Amino acid sequence: MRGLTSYAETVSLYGTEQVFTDGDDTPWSKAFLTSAYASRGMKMRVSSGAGAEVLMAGAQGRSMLYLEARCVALARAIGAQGVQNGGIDGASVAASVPGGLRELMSENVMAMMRNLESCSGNDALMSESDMRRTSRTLPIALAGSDFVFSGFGSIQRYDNMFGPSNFNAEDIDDFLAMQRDWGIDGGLRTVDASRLADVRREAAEACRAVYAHLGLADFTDEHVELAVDAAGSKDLGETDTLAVLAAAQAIRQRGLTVVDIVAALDECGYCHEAERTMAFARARLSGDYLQTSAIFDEQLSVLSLVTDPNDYAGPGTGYEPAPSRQAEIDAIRQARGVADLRAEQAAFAVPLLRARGPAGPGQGPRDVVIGVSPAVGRDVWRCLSGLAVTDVLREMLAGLEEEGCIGRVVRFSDSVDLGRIGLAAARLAGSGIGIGLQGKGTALIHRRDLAPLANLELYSVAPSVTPSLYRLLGANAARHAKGGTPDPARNPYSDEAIEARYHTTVIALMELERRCMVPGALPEELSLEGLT
Amino acid sequence: MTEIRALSGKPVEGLTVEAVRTGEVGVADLRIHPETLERQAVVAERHGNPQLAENLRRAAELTRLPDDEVLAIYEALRPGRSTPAQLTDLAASLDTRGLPRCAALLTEAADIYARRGLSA
Repeated sequence: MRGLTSYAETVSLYGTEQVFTDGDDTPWSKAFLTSAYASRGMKMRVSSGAGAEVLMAGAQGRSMLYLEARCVALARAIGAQGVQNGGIDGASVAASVPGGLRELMSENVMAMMRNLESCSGNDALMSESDMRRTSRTLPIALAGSDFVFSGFGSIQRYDNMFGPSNFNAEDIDDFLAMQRDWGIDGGLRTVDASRLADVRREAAEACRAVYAHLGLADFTDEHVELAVDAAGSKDLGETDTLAVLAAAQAIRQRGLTVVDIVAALDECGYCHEAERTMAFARARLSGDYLQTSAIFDEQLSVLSLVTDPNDYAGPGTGYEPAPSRQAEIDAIRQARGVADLRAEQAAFAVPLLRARGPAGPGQGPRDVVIGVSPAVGRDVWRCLSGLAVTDVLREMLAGLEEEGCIGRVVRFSDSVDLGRIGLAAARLAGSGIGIGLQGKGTALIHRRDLAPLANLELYSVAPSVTPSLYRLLGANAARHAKGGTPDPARNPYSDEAIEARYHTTVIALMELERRCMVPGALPEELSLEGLT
Repeated sequence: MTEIRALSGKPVEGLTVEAVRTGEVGVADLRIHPETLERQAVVAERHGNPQLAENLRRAAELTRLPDDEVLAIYEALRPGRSTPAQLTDLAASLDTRGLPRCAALLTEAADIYARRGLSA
């Protein structure tokens, strides 16, 4: 009533008379309250959802869906513009019965069928299981609810007296990736960390200035500093509870209004904030925000059922993100490209593997060639396992030497294919045995008379190969060269999601290799300096 | 387009930070005007929601009452607070003061509360 807010929610409706009365209201008192909010230009939505009546021991044997159907009908009857439902705090109750999640979705559909704003209710964590809580929210996001969340939880679990939200601030990166995965607008966007810090600092300082100006409280520099980075109340140091009480009392007794806030912001030099707060106050005078499903856009223009009607008529219709919004959805902060990988690889470059000139055929029976891919020693220096390419070569050369062979390192720039590189190395070697190594760390042993895709031993799981395995590969190549019996390595078994974790990096690494490729290029001998 | 005015009668364009600075803005200048709510009620009706329209018309009536009185009526409507006669009297008073829609809501409540045991 003092203009300090533009919106009210959690005006609860219940499906039975007993629970309504226990909640100290009636449909008539709530109808009056709905009008009271509108009379001050404030948007309001009611709340209801499965499980409330069961939790309050007053379901009277009715199904949760039936009771919610009554709530939605009542919401429409009293003239509320919208409903926040879909279980809300009782979502876990609905989830405890067969088909419970279908019931939660049905609640949202009922709100839409009554032509009311549907706020689909992120509020309560339905289950501690990450898979089940995601399964609960995904259909809402895919279907395109007006508001997937009534507010994506940003309150730390320990601070949230209602209990944590189904999706909370710590899930933001996952949620942004889900939006991008499905190409849907879930209402959130990636914000640059420095922008976030700036906004938080400005907010903390503006609040301090207003509190000081109005004589409500004096926050220390240290407190403001803590507030900029704080995730929750535990990060704010000791709370002076008396100061909080005193400020609350002062706000109430002195009857502070939005006009006082605007004046304080203005006089403390927060002109932009003063203008913005004033604009919100003005927006309450037009009433456009009272229509169904109203939101403000960034220019404070109202989008609602009236100005932006719902034209959904089945799959492929209805709201689609504009190209600019889609670009925003697509640009998640963990996205990486070839340029990022090139820079990362360059950071590991060392002054080794200098090209010494064209590589000729080897003469000795103990000559084994290690053939490396085009980008090795140029743009690729580190394998998927995290080992330096030079360390891998050191191990292979040592393994060859242990078994009495002499290794050479030769770069083949006319192919990125490991089979071809290994075979070409074998054909150049005096022993007829070659090792092929791609920059990403995949390696094999080849023999000059085999087909390209046939080989003697292959390390295909590059991220898991260890230094001792590379040494063993060198030793086994030497054993083949001598006509001895190799001791094949066991696969390095791993629980890691190798494909999910590395495939896109492999694609980018292979792009670096491809860009170094020169068709018809002759093999080059690389310096062994620093490797033996 | 109709000019939007505040409850005080001031046009919305005049409500600026500059006006706050010179002390020309009071809380009544930031309250919605009943005519604005009536216009929104017509819009809601045109968009197929007569219930929202009715709510906005009750709201238009309530712009006449001070905050304290609005809260007092809400309190009177909560379960077990009022006798049927008190609600009926309150309704009659609202009706004579030009709030017939709010009065009708209270009259209906008085009847239902008496039948359902929700009266004081």
